[in-house]
Amino acid sequence: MKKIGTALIAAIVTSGTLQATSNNVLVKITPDIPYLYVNHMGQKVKIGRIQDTTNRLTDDYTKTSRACPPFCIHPTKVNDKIKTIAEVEMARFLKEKVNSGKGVVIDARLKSWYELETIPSAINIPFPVMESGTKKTAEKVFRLLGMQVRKDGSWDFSKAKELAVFCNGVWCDQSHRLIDGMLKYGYPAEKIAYYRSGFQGWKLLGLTTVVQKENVK
Amino acid sequence: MMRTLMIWIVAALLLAPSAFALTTKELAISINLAGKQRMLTQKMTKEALLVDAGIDTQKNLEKLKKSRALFDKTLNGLLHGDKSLRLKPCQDPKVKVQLKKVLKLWKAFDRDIGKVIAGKADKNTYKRLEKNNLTLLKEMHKAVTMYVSETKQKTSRRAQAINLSGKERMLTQRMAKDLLLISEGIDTKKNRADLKATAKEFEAILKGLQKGDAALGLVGTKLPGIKKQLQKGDTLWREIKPALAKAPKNPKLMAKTIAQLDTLLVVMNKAVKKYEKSIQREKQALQLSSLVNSFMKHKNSENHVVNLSGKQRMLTQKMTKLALLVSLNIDRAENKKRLQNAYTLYGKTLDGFAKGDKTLGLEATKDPKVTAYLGEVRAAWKPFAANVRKVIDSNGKDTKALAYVVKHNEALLQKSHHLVQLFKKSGGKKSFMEKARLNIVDIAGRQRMLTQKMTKEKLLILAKVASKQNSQKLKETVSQFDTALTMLIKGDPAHQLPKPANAKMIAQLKRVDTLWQKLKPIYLDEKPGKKALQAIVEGNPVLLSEMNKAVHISEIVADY
Amino acid sequence: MGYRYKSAFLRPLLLLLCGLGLLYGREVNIVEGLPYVDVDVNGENIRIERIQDTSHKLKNSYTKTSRPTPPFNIQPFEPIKGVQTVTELDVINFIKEKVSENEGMLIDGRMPKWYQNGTIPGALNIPFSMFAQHQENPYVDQIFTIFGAELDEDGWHFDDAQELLVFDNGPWCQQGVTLMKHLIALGYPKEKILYYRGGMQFWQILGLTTIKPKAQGAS
Repeated sequence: MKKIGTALIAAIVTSGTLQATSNNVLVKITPDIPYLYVNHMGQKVKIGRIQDTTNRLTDDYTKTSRACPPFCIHPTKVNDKIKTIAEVEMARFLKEKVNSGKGVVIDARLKSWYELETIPSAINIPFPVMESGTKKTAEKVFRLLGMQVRKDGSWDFSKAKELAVFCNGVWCDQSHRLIDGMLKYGYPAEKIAYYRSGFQGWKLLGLTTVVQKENVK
Repeated sequence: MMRTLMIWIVAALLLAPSAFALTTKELAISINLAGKQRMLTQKMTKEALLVDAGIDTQKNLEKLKKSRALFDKTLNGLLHGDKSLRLKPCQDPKVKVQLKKVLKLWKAFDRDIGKVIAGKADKNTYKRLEKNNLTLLKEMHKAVTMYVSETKQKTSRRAQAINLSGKERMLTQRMAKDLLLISEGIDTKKNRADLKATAKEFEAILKGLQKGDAALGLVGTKLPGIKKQLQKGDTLWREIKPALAKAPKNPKLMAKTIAQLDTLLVVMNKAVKKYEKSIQREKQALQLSSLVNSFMKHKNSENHVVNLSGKQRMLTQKMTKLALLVSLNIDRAENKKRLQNAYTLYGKTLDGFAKGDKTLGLEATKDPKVTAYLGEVRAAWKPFAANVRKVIDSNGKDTKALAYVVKHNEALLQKSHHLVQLFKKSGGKKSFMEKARLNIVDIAGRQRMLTQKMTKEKLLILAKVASKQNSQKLKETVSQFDTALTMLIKGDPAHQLPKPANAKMIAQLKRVDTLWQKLKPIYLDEKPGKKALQAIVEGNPVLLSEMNKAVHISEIVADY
Repeated sequence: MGYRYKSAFLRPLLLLLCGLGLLYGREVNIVEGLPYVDVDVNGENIRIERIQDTSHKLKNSYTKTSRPTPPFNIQPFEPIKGVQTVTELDVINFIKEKVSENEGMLIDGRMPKWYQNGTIPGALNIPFSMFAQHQENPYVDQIFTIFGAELDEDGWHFDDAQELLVFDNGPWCQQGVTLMKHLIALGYPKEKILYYRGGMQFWQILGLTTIKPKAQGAS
């Protein structure tokens, strides 16, 4: 009996408590990224997952039957050239590209939605801006994203940032409309990624969101 | 000797599944192609008649050539096998005989078709064709029914659907052939009657396929693809049917109707294909599910074995506890009975691991490591059992026997525990969740043992047997129970114990915890009064039973 | 040989439905012009459609956000290189075009209890752990034969083997990926495997039809 008892106690002593030390986060984002820090509107924000294993999503993102049209189920890809990504890719993108300034997460929804709740570090480019925008608007937006205008007036995207675009979820077409608008004005497709599950997928995994304005829903 | 051998041979022949049985896929292909042959007998005759009537001669000659070649190829394929048609050679002797009969008739029929193609046919050629096409059809049909009867009861309805929808193909061509014969004035009375009967049969089968017909052995289809296809056939039939009587006298209508019958042939052929695919899928599903069932049975028995071997640990302590109670004359009669039961169960289970035991749901172990170790456990069990026996028989008064039990129970516990670990490892590589399940059963199961151990230790202390030592042991046991219970309730990644999220499991562990919080102080109390002692004696079996329930729940819930 | 499940398949379907005048006044369609899809599941007609109640919310355990990792790690978008990840429209098309023509199998890789509690119409159950111990596993041969693979002296050949679309509980479940990895280790061609990462969770969060398969073994 001693053998079993001491082994058990020893194991417990060495494994430490179940609290959140970096290696002992109960619910991680990826095995090597339990959580990460980003910059949102000048503030440092920790992106992690809700640790309460009994937590459930109960808000409108659990609605199953939005009218279709217009909220129809979208295919896997936006088009052949733009890659579709999910949460693991988003985490790596945030850690490696966003934090080093080489990438940007774009919330394609309308401003009111963005202000209500969004993914930390995301900037807002409401889809109408690009969908019905002029070349001038596109130039403004693209410059913000790192495009440079050459002496001859042509647009140089070599230093343009990589983008991860999202909207509400697989039944939302706003990412598509934003992306189409961007492609129309020449933003390189290989620099755009489509986070298809969107905000719904993000919340279903208990990932951190930033709430900016209190709003009556 | 000879006689026994004969009996065995006869028995083997009678009982052996047909060595000639085709697989389901092969059978479905054979039924379809054999059925198609029926259609071809009528199609060839029709095409020959069209050539004779000078209607689209070149086109119909080409068609006739093709039909003839296909009939020939398929017939030989059914007999000897044909890779391109995915046919295996016929091995069923009865079917072989029938196909050979068809082959003989075909040789003569084929000669006449050859004459038509070569442009050397005369009146007698066509007379022979008219006479022989029905015989050829009849014998081919016999062959088809032989294939159909091969299919088992469960799928006979579907096989019937394939058979009859296949027959529809033949009937379209038969009607076309009849129309041509009538228009040429050949045996008009007979052929008109045949056309009427054939049309009636076609319609009856079509309705049966769509809505069901008990006499035909058909159940109406609910499948969307097949329904649509039959509907197509029905729409076309509604145009053809009224034209049948008038067509022979009206060349334009005649050409149209015959063309429509050809289209109807194609439509019905597609329907046959869809029926085939549907059966195929059902067969796949059945086969898979039986494999899954046998797999799950095996899996469940793995969990069960770990559970029961874990229970053995508990029994070593329980027997010791009960032996002490008997000797202390606490509820002697009852506890003697309980001790008897525990002792019997331990031995029976041990045997069950080695040889299998239906009542315990145990299969004999196939793991050589386990078999070898069972020998060791048995070696420790034998003298232990003998002494337990003595305690029972002497009403606990045989102190030597009692001392043996007290001294050796922990060694037996160790061995029983090791056996659990061996069972956990046997059965090959496991996924994380499977390992976790076994861990839960192991650790929760161990709690059962600890409830008995701590009671045993308490009793030893009260009986003033090695009080200091047993006090220390008791403290450890209590702490172990405590820690493991917390691990089960909160989860422990280091031990691959997931935190339970299932409501039933959480509730049960809570129940155990509530009971435990009441009993713990009593166990730890150095000088418990009589009432407290009573509480332990009454409470620990309840704690054991509640812990056992938790183990059981962990075994059966889908979502831990 | 990759398959492209673009929206191209929608156009012919749309035209067909318009032509047949089947544009229902339904509020919640699968996609515009496609209210439902009828499929043959084990000899029965099942209609795949969406829950029509626009206020309906998912409330079951698929709304849980925080399963412990391990073991419930979030899957990357394409967990196995060379195995294409597909989504709901692809699954529906697969059921309609491939499963019904006996050219594809939709595989639910979870344990039988989960499968029996509700699965995607047309799915067959092959618990992921059935392929676990490759070497002495008695089930692999039989299952591969059902898949249409052929065995000869040189081993397994998969030219006529069916396409498999594998799914499990959702993006945090390992069972589908485990099943696929085992299949690939046993030689099954990657081009013939597809992965519905969203699984039952996303299927249900879009209100799509699930069925409880008949008790296995009975016919």
